[in-house]
Amino acid sequence: MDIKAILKRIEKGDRSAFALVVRQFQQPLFGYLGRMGLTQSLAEEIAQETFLRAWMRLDDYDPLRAEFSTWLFTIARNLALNELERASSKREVTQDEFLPDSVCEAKPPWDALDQNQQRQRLINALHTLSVTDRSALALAYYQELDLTAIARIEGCSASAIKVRLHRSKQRLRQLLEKRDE
Amino acid sequence: MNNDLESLLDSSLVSIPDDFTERVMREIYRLPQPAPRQTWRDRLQWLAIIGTAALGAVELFSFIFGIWTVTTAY
Repeated sequence: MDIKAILKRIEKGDRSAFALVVRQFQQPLFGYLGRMGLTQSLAEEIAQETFLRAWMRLDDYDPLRAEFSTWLFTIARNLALNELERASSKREVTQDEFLPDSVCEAKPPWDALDQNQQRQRLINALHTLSVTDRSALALAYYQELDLTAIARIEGCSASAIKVRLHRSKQRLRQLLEKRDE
Repeated sequence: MNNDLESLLDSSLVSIPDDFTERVMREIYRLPQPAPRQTWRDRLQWLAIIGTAALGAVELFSFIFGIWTVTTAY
């Protein structure tokens, strides 16, 4: 369903229509938060907070200024960055805190092992990037957002995003190759 | 390595809980309904009201000033 039609329903007082917003955006939002290197529980917490803030500030959203996805991901990015900065300033956070809680899914142990190891290595490599570079990279894998939208969320130019993406991928490749040797 | 990295980044590193939507909606029902969004028409209306009020104030002050000028002339 078109987001504009959903927002119209909400405006008319149909709260239940917001469930459609949640269903439409939960997948890309969790994808983004996962690529940001957040744990399962933190990702759940931030995803929920993102939707609640979106609800509370729905009157601030102006469709003429930005797509709904750009607006929603700006909220998610700010929450994720605050959380990561808060965690890093505490310095009590160990690398283990950022390990995914749900690396064990319902798959045969031997099949899942390699994939989980790869994921774990990726998460560790992601943590070597700065939070802003990680955020740009995490946003780039949501097909609905183009470079201009990512630049808007990140508050910089599209060319700067291009450079940051290239640099981040190169760094990840180097780290993952190093560990392959 | 290129494809590996792309597919890894494309994969889901965290999973969505089955009851996530319900959990969010439970909280949503506890919150007040958001205020209706302001359209350009609403803004234009506000602008017209403020403009008219300002013009009215100018008229009022010029009237008071006129009276004051007449009364102090004598």
